[in-house]
Amino acid sequence: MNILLIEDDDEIATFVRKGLQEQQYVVEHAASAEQGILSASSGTYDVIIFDRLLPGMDGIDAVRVLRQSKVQTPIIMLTAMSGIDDRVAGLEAGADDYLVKPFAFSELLARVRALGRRKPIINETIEISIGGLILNRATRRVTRDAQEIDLLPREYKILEYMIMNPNHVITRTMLLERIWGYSFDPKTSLVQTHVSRMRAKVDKPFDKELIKTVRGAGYVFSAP
Amino acid sequence: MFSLPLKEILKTYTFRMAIVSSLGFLLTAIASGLLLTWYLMYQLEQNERHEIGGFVETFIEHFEEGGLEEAIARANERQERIVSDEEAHNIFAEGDPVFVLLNADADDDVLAGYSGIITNEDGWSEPVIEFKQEEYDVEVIRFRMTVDERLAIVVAYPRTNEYYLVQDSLRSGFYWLFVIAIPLALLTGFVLSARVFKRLNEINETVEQIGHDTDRRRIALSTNKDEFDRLGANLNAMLDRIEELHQNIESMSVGVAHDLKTPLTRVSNYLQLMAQDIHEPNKLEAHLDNVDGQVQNILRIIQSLLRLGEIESGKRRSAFKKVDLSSLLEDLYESYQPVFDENNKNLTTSIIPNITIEADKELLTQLVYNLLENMIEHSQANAQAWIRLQSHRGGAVLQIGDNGPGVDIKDRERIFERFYRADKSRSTPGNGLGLSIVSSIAKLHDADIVLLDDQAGAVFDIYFKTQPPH
Repeated sequence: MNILLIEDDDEIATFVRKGLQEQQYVVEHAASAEQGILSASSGTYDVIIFDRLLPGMDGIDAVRVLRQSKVQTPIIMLTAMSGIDDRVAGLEAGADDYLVKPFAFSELLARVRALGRRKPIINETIEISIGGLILNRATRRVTRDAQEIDLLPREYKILEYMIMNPNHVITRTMLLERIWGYSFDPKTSLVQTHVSRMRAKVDKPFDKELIKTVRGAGYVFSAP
Repeated sequence: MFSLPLKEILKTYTFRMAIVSSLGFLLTAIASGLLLTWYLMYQLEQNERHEIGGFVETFIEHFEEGGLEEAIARANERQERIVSDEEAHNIFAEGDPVFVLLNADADDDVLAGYSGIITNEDGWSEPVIEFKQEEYDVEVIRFRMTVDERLAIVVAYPRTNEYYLVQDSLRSGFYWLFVIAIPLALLTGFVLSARVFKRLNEINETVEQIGHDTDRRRIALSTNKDEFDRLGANLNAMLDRIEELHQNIESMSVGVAHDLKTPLTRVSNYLQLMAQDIHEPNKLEAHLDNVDGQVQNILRIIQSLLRLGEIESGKRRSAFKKVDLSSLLEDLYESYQPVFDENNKNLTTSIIPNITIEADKELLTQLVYNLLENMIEHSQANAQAWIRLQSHRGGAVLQIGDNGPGVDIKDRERIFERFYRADKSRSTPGNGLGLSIVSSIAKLHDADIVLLDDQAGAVFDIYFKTQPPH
């Protein structure tokens, strides 16, 4: 996977670059918004990581410029700690995801992976079937090995999100943002509680696990 | 004794305004005086003309009844032939008219009366003939009427004493108006500005002193409750608020320093341990985990502080939208009921539907969420917690409470302060910012938050206004 990293802070750039290279990704680094926009519109990348605060240009404007010039590459914005306003502004400008500094590398990696192999077709698929689990997005009916599984609305949403992003780590923060729409970090085990209740219904009665916990990172949904 | 800095007072706005208003008053007085004069003079002149008119009419009657001879005879009977101005003046001095009958055909030959007042224009003539009486120049007004080709009458009449009396008193009136009013205006202006200057100067000096050296000094108020007292009271309130903020910052800096110092000290300790155990990967991993935990702690504190700053700046108020509080609470209940369950606690709700308020949805969520998390953390096993939403006098009251250990009386006042942690919660994780965030979110939404007295646990009432303030 080819990744373009636009970041003016050398230390963060090195940190991200090193981590991604260890995952066998090809990383190109641009240190300014102008250079970044140039690379983004000329090269072919699977994901662009764009720092929000760059000298000379606001990352949000840069993203808007890219989107206006028909660059469709998925973009993750990085920003200093802040409220939800920045997040919304970033997403409205055309970014696909938004990550607040300082972030755990595993969090960034999970998001890069989620975006890197995003296939838009799956969004239109009504019935998804993996490892004997069938999820119908129209009727919200879930069965496994022909057995009906009765999920609460939120449990269904978590499962749907996981099943649409199979084989990749989904972090707790991602679930918190996508399922609950919260941008703050709960001290209690909000996400874990709901995931484990869902797993009790989806996995426990059956002999093979579809959802696995990745220690310190999140969850992975995959066929057994 | 307060000495008056003359130059400064003359420069004050009040003084200028006092002078302008005095001049305005003076002009009004002059204008109304002139109007009155004109009216009185006009009335007096009308009277005189009326009398002259009567006089002329009598002669016309004689003329019509007995012809010219009769008119001349009556005229001579009434007024001996006058030959000199002096004689005429004597008559005028009595306030009587002098007249002359003329043959209008034959070059105004005098038929009877005094020739000195002849004029050949019909109607009123400008008052020309003047004579001295005592110290006055008395004007004489004249009227000529041509009755037919044989007879014309000219009557001269001195202005009446009343006329001069009125004119005279008005003149002196104006004189005194100028002599007294202008210095009076200056004096009032000065006294007024001096008084205002004194009051303002007291406020000015106090504010200046506080500006140089912040202390507890405040502006002294009088008992008059006038505008200066209001200004003073407002300034005092402002100073109190600034001082409060100042103290907040001070206690916050101390809190930040203290709360960051603890985890940083631990990080430093773990780093030293790592140096010691550099060849033991198992131990290193444990130390790394510990360092990470402490760093996350620090980041959480900083994030909370940034959050507080953002809320208190009030910027988010501009993004307020209609939020269905009822369904937001139902949603939070659905999310948190399982978490309470996992912790062997019970969360129940009693929420009336369709309560909407102008709010920031994300912050409202955080408000409720912070309170719920507190309850999970600080209550005993099998504790009961609840969310209630009810209508309340043009608004809504949200109650979030539990039957846990509650808050000690000595802590009640301070639980919303930043970094304040009650003794018994020091052992649990947390940074003492959660309730500060709750209270600042409530404040941003114009909602009052109250920790109820006399409750077994911690019970918070939050009063929302359902009608937006604007």
